Amino acid sequence: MRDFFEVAVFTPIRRLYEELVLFIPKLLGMAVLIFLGLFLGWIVAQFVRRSLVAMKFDKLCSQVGITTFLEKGSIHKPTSELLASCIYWLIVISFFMIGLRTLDESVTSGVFSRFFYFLPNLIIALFISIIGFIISKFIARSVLIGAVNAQIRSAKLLSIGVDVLILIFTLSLALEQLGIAQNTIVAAFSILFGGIVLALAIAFGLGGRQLARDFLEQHLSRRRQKEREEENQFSHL
Amino acid sequence: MAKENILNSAVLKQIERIKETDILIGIPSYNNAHTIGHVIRAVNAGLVKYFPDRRSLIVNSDGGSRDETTAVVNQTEIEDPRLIMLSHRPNPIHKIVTPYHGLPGKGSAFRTIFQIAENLHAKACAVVDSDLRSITPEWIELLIKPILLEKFDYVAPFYLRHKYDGTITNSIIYPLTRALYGKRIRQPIGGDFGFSGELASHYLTKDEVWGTDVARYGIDIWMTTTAIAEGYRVCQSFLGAKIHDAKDPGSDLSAMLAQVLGAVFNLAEAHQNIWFSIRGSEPTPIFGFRFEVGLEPINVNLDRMINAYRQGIADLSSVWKKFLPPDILGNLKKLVGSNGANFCFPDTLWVKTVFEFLVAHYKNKMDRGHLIKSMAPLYLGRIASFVIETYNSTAAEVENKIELLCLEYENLKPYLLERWRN
Repeated sequence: MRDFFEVAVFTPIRRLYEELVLFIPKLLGMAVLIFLGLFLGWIVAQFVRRSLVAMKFDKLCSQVGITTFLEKGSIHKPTSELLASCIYWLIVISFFMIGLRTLDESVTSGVFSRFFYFLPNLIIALFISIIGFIISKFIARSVLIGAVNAQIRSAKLLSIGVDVLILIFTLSLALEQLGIAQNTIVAAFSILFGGIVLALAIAFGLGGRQLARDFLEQHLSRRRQKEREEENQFSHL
Repeated sequence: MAKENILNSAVLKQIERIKETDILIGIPSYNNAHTIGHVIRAVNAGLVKYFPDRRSLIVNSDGGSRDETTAVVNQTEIEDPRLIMLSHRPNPIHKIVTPYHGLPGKGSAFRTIFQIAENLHAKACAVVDSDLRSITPEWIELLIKPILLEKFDYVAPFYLRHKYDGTITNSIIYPLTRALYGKRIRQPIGGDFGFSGELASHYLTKDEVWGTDVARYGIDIWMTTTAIAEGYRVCQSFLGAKIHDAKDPGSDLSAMLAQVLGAVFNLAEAHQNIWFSIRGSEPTPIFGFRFEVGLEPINVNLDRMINAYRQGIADLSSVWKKFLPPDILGNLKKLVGSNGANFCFPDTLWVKTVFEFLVAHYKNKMDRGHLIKSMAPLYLGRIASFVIETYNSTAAEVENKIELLCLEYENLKPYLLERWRN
């Protein structure tokens, strides 16, 4: 009877106790790490947010159109706060992953290493996307204003074309960084870009030979002469 | 911080030899071989005729001309008594020809001139454009004498111009400067100015501006505004007609607007504490004998300007809506409907639009270069409206029309202040 209790009751309880004794410090360790992550995340996020506010980052984002873009997606938070939140969650998730590792290394080590291997690429891809977006909006607006001032009829179309091309280029760079469909993206971009150039070349060089001839004749000689004659002769200054 | 040396060793040697001068006349140039000889002869004749007993110096500050400008300057005889039928003066007129240092532009050329004036302790200076065809010896008298004899610090030019000439000046720069700083300077960006040696030295202390648009087209308005806002004694001199070489065909209106308006808007920001309290405006003394002159007729392509306005409204409204209030943008859009002869851009709407651009520039609502360049179609629309309205008007009637516009700027200044502060 005593053996029965020893085998059926006490041994499992002892094992449970031993496992608990081993597990609780790990659990506590994980909890501490999560709280540390929350605290550190909060500190860093506050620092980042205040620094960005001091650097007038929100105004810059508003100028280049990021704020409008976010508002279209029903995100009404200031960009500085949004970026600070991203950093906060990145730190919290990182510490959570470290905490998980303390529980059972064998199970979580694979996930852990993959997560931290992927993290720098994710940050770089995000950075590329943001910079690409800012540059595309800036250049598109430069093209629009320049084309309107040059009185080019399809100024808006030209500006949208430049915007889309830069965004596609940015997206391909970001996805390549993440290692997602690397070859497909590069091939798609090459095909798209090459296709546009080829289409323009064919349209202008073959389909519109006469048009090209007229264009060159008119625009480079007679029209320029005419424009010179028609040009306002007053001095603006 | 050590002061940047902008003069080369050859110029420094010449300065060492000349030691001091009473009068310095600066002529910035860039590819002006056809006209600069005439300008130098006129300047020389003015110095000989009106300031025979003063030590004088002519400085040509060149931006790397690819034509014969420098050779023409070097070869032009500056001591030719036949020019004015007078005997030889006791003090020779010196001449310095030097390339300038810094960003390519008129402002950098002026900076070199200011530096030479300071090194030679010049009492009175003047700068004249090198593409002038209408300059006479009297210009030198009119630009220099108020400094030497009346103790003024800055002499702005007062020209007779064709009613459609100087449109940025008439529609924005003159009325805006007058409303902001309360002084009526009719040609704040005229290009030909007189100034004291003291003011030249003061300009040189503003190191921060020489890397900006002030180094280019912005120099004229910067000189005028700095003189007015910082309390220097300012007057004007009547110079007659201003006839100069046709504008550079490569010059781009939007770039010109960006440089001139950029400078005006930056100055408004820098001097906000000064102009906040100023209301109305006061006249500025004018020297010289006023006379009428015949002005060359000029072509204006109205359709092109109105089309530019229409395209601006169609394509740039999305840009303007970031900072223009809906009522102003709505009124601007309404103008598109009116055809040719009925096209009318009211004064009030124009002034409010300019003020909104100024405030948006101050508040950094978007990239400042984009902001100002996007104003070009609106400006062309306003000019088209002005041309239509004044087509049959005399010069005096046009001047009255400009005066009314100035008063509108002054009356709407509280609107600007409110928008600026909120």
